[in-house]
Amino acid sequence: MSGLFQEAIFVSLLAATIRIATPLLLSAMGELVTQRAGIWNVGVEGTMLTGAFIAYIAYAVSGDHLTAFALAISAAMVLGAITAFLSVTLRVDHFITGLGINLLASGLTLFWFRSFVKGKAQPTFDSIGTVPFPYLSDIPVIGSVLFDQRLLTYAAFALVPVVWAFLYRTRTGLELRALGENPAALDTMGLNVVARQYAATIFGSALTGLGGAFLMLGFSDRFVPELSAGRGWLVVVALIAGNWHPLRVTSAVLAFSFLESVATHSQAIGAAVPYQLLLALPYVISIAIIVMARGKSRQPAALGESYSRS
Amino acid sequence: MSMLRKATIAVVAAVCAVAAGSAFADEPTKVKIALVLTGGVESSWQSSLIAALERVKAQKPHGLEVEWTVGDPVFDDDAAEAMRIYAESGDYQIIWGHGPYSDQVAKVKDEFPDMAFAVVGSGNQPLGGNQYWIYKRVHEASYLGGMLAGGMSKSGSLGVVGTFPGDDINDEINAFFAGARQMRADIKQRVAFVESWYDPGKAAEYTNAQVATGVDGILQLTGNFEACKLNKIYCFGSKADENYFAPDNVVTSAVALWDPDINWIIDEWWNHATKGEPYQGNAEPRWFSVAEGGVALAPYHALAEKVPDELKAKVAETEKSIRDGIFKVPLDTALPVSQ
Repeated sequence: MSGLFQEAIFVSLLAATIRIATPLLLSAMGELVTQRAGIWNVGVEGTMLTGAFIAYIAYAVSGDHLTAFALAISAAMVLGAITAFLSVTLRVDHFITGLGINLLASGLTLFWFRSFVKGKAQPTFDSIGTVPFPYLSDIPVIGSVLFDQRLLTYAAFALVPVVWAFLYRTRTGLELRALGENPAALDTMGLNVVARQYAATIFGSALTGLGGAFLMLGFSDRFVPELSAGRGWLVVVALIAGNWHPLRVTSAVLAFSFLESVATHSQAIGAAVPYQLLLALPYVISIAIIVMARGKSRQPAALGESYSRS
Repeated sequence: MSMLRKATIAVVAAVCAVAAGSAFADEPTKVKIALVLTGGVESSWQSSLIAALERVKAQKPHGLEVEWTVGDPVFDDDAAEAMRIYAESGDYQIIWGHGPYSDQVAKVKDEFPDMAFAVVGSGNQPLGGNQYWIYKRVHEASYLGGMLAGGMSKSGSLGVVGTFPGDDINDEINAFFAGARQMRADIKQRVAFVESWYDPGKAAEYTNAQVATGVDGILQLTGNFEACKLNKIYCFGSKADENYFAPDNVVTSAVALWDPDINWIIDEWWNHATKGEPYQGNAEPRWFSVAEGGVALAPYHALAEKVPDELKAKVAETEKSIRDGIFKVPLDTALPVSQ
C-alpha cells in the first residue's frame, strides 16, 4: 500500500476522488434540498440513469454537449414532477414512489436503448474535456487535483456553499427547512406547501439528472444498461450519513469517493490486499457510518410523510 | 436374364429412386436457432455472435436457410423458462445459450431429445447428450496484440482493465503479457478487475489509475475507451473489432469468430436429423483456434502507419507460425496479478 504515496499515484488518487465525487455531489446537493422539504426521494438511482441515457441519446442525435445536458436535466425534471405528483398530490408512500421511479427508469431506458441501437452501429462520443485554471493548475499536487478538472466538477463544489447559504441564510431556505419539519405550520401561515414541495423535488431531480449526464459524457464512450451502477443509492446513503447538512453530506460523498479511489489505485499498484475487499470498502464503510450516525440523527421530522390538512 | 427379371429389377430400381428422392425431399431446408443471451446485442460478446450468424447464413451450410431469434437477456429460472418456451414452440431446432446456462439446459434438454443445445464459456457443466459446450479462447490473438503493445510501449509498463476474472478471461490476459514479453522481456504488468459488467465510470477510473503508474498500453476488456482517448495511450480491444470507438487509440482487437462454433452445432444437429446419429455432447469444452478460424487479430485501420513496419512483420510472422502449428501460444489460465 505504500506505493499509493508515490507522488504521481497520490496525485492521481486525489484527482480521481474529485472526479468520482462530482456526479454524487451534484445529485446530493439537489436531493438534500428535496429531502429538507420533506420528500424522501428514493428514485435517485432511476433519475440519474435517466439523465445519463437522455444525455446519450441527445448527444448521439445532436452532437452537442450543451443540448445533451439541457435535455438530460429536462427529462430528470419530468421524473421529479412525476415523483412530486405521486408523493405530494396523490400522497403515495414516498418509498413506493421512488422504487416505482427506479423500475420505470430501468425498464424504459433499456427498451429505448435497445430500440435505438438495433440494427446499427453505436454512436461514438467525445467526452467533455478538462478546463484547467490558468496558473492555479500549475501548482504542484493541488493544481492537478483541484484546478485541472471539468467545468461541472467546479460547479458541483461551488454548489455546496450555495445550497448551504440558500438553506441557512435565506427566507425561502428557512421555509423549505420548516416544510421538512412541520408543513402544517407553513400551511397555517398561508404558504403553499404543495408548490414548494413540487419545486424542491423537481430541483433535486434536475441536479441528479445533471449528475447522470456527467457520468455519461464525462466518463464513457457509450451507454450501457444500468450505467448509474448504484450511485443514486450512494447519494441516499450520503444524505443519511451526512445528517442532511450540506457540509457533512459533502464530507460523506468525499469519503466514499476517496475509498473508491483507494480501491482503484490499490489494484493498479498491485497492493497485497485482496481486491474484492478493497472494492467492498466504500459500501462497508457507508453501512458503518449510517449505523454510527443513527444515534444522533437530525432527520427532518416530517421527512417521508405526505402532508394532508385533514 | 429374362425379360421378366429385367423388368422386375427396373421396377425395383425405380421404386428405390423414388424413395430416395422422397427422402431427399424430406430433408430439412431450414434451421432456426433460439439465442439466449447474457447481455444486449450491443456488447462485443453478443455482437460478435450475431455477426458470425450473418456470415453463416450467407454460406448456407447443408443448403439450409439459417434463421435466429434474439430475446432480451435472461438469467436463472427466467432463462430456463425461455428455453422451454422456445423448445415447446416446435419452431426451433437449436437453442444457443450464450453464457453459463448449463443449469438451465439441464432442466429441459431431456424433454426435447431431437433439439441441440449449446452453452458457451466458463461457468458451465458438461451434460453430454444433446448439450454441447463451447469455449471462446482468444488468447492466440491476444498474444499477437501483446506483441504490438510491447513493441510500441515506451514506458515498458502495460495494463489490463478487466470485468471479472475467469478461466477464459485469464488466458487472454496472460497471453497478452506473454506476447508483450516476447518483444520486451522487462515488461511490467498491471492488472485490475472492475467486478462489474456495466460500469464505464469505474472502468475509466481504473484506466486512469493504471496510467498514473506509468502504463502506456492497455488491454481494455470493459468496453470503454474514453480514458484511452483522454490519456492519449494505445489500447487493445477484445471479442469484436473495437477500433470504431476510438480510431486513434485502439490499435487492434482479439476478435472472436463464432463461425466454426455455429457450423459445428449445425453439423451435429444435421447429422442427428438426417442420419439419425445420436448427439454426443462434449465432456471437455471445445474451442476453435486461429488456424481453425475461431479467432483473429483485427486490422490496424488508420493506426497502421503508427505501427512500425518491422513490428508488423514480426506479428505477421508469428501469426503464420501459430496458424501453421509451428508456434503454440501458452495457455495459462492462472489468475493474473500486477507485478
